[in-house]
Amino acid sequence: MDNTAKTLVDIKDLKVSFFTPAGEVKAVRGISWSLKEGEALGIVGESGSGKSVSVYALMGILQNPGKVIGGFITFNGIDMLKLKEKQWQKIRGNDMSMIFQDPMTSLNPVYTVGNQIAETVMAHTKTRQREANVLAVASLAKVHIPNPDKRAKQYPFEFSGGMRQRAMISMSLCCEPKLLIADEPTTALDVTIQAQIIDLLRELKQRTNMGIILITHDMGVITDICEKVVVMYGGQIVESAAVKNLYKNPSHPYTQGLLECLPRLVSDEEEPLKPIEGSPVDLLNPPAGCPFAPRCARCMKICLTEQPPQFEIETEHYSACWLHALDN
Amino acid sequence: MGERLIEIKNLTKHFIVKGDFRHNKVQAVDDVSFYIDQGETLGLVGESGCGKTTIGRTLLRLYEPTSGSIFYKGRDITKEKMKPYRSKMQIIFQDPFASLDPRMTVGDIVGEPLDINRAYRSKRERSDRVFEILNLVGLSNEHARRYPHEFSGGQRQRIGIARALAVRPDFIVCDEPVSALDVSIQAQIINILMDLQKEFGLTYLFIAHDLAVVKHISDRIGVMYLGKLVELYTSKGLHKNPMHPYTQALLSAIPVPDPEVSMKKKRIILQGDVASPINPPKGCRFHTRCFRAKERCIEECPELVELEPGHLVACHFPG
Repeated sequence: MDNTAKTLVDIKDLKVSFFTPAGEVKAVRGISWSLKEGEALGIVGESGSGKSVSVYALMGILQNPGKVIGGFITFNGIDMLKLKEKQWQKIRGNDMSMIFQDPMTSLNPVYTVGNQIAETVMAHTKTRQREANVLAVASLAKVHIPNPDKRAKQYPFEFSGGMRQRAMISMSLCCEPKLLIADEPTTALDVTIQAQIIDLLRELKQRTNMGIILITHDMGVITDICEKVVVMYGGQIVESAAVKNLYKNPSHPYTQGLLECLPRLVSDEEEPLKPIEGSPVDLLNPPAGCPFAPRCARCMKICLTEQPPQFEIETEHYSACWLHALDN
Repeated sequence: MGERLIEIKNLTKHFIVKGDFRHNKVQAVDDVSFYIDQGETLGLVGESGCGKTTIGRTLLRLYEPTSGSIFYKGRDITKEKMKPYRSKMQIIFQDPFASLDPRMTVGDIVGEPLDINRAYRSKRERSDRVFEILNLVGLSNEHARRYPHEFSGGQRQRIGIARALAVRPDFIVCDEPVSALDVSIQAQIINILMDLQKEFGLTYLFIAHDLAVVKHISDRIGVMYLGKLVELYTSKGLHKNPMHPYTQALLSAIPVPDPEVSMKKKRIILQGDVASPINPPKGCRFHTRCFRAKERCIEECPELVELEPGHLVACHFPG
């Protein structure tokens, strides 16, 4: 990765809350990260950790009652939070696009797949229907869908799960975006199909210079595509590092636990798994201190009352845990 | 290993497609045979639509088999009344949100199997038994008064396990019990299942699509593809020496959370999608995606053959 690459996305101290009848749910509580052109960032975390909500804010598709209540989002040099809805629409689908977890529900069942891709093209460029249709077929071919001419005229129900995800990817790529956000793109798919989609994403990353944000709960998928990784827990970033460093030297107790509790295929030992005890955080009443403190085996007094800052472990490797204060 | 607890022979389950005038059938499970010994865990893996859940349910006769037979402790139960066997054979479901009645308290959910089997003499005995079971799965007595919506996913799965355990079964079908849970919670549930097995000598049929999880918990693993059992071997052996091309592809496709291992790993990426079980391909059902397929595979369906002791493979060209 060359260091001269331009910064594509810069998120600073982002806070997102959902104002529900039961109270304010603090889904994202002050996170910062950045992404360069051509780089792939993985965001890992469990359900409710705020990983999806943070990129929804970046895309400007937070749904009511969700609101960005603090922080900055810069994309391609533009301050995104100052934009009007009309300006968002120009960027969304054009400069940045998104693929979702469930390819079954994110395609419109009453239009042909080709039609839906052509619609995206026409919305963002001055293209006529006929040219757009040709482009749609070409973009289906780019994601290796066999017989793209025939397939473009078919409806989503005629596609299998893996094919639908390919169609979604081709739709999000048809305007040649600078940023692709993939929200659990392979979670709904079978392993052999997942391998195909990962392979496709890797190929696209090499062919184009776009930035990729990959949200997943599967540490394995991250290693296959990303260079950088951010681990989220309870709406905060607990650790961020280059993928290599994170696996070699996981520093936050949550990351360590996450890596240890996975059953390994390669190992021969019959050791019991080491689970992380307890349940995920309640974001309606998040703990005052470190969000992971109630489940942490190495919890100290300070962890319950004070939020830990990001300690630098090595270059570009940060971990938010008070234990590192002891090390220094 | 003890005596043979469960055995199925040539089990077949076809579903009739409703409203289809051509009388098409979904061939969900086709001619599958295996056995499970007392105290053993047999893992069943495969992709969605391969028939692994159907096997689990047909085995308990929640679905009636189209043909073939099911044995429990050597006794053919294919045609028998199931009531006396229900308390011996239980099931844990995948979705802990859909499988618990939202209007019943946890105490009643776990107590209902006791009511049905008249397993107590007094109310006191019933509640004692409920508490005892809840404690076994790591829940406390006060949880009995609460409703399912008050629990997280992992805790609900514990309730599902408690319900299955209530009647002291010997055999439990675990149908993707951890697939819906977060990774940090998965390990908790797997450990509970393994501890309970040790304590009560339980026998499991463990169905999942995650090979790493299945390998961890199982003694032997069966791999399924489109309704057929394609390979069966001890879980260690299967990982070291997979013989069926589908098993090999499945093992190589799993992303490994370690960049160094991941870089070195040779990947087999299968082309195309799983064929439809309504009109499965002739010959070997895997030949449409197989990288070793030859003419013989298109014409002739391979039998499950024992290549080495305990290692069964259904392939014309294993290796």
